[in-house]
Amino acid sequence: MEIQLFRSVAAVSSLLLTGLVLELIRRRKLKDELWLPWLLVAIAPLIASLWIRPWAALAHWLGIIYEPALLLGLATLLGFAMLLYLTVVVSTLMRQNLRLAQDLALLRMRVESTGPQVTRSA
Amino acid sequence: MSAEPQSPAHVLLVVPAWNEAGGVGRVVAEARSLPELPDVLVIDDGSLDATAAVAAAAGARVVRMPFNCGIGAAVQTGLRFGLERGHAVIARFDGDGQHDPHALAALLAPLSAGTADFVLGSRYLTGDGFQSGAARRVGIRWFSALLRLACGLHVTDPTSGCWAANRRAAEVLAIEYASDYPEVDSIVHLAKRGCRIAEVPVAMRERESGRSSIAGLGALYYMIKVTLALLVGQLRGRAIQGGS
Repeated sequence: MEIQLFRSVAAVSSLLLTGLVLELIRRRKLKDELWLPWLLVAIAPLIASLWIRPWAALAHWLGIIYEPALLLGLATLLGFAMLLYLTVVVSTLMRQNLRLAQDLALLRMRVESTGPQVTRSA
Repeated sequence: MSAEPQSPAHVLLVVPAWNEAGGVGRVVAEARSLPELPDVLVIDDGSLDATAAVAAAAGARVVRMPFNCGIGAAVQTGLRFGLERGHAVIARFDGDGQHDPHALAALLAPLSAGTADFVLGSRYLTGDGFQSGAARRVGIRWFSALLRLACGLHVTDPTSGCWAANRRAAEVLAIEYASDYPEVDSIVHLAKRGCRIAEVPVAMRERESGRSSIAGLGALYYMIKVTLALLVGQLRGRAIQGGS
């Protein structure tokens, strides 16, 4: 009974999260490279809750007595994986941001040293 | 590397400055009066005070970063500027007056003689001038020991921040230079890329303005960050060797 309840909660939560991710993709709030991992993370609990037998077998094989704990453990791992992935993305952005700031500073110096060149047309 | 003496006109002195309006003017004025006649480039790293205006009034070229990017990114901007403009030597001095611009001649000598690609100024080789406190000296000895282990280098003052690089070394640093606390890390990068590193004695002065970021908890963060960066640098070095 308790496992059934857990499956239902996992399935509903997964559906809600999947719906939210799909809506963010539709509104273009999530960029291409970033929506795929989120969609996988959102759908994974739904698949796991519908396809319970292999999960239960895997949990027993791993020595986990309470099967839903496997799902929770995997969710935690996926969460960490997402955080790691996002940290890599942020690190890349920081590096690119610094490079752009340097380019901007050098170009601004070049422009300022040549003086105003723009004339406004009537 | 060319063993020909460097023309003084090809020396670029990079002075990173963040809220250093109180000291940067004197640094620029002193640097511009040197017999080496270096081009002086102040990198204003998003200052909120009149650093850029003071530096420009003293006769320096000024690059203004759009926001505070960290000392490493500021120095790297100077390196990129120097490489783009064809400078043969790029030197780096602090904007707070701690580094005496008159040390430039000593830094240039090994580069001109062709015996080094990167020359570091050390306040501990002769013990002249301002010497840092005991706690900081312990940290510096720790980094010296790590550098000896990491790349077999004997460097007495790896955190001095007073150095000169020829184009070969500058090209290495223009590609890879940590945005915060880059001094020790950059020595490892240079050594791993085969650059020859030398140390010459320089006298330092007490800072005239601003305050060091390496104090209190900042010092602890500095020690941990730089130590870990050196360890990670070792892993990266192995990965590069394995990859090639």
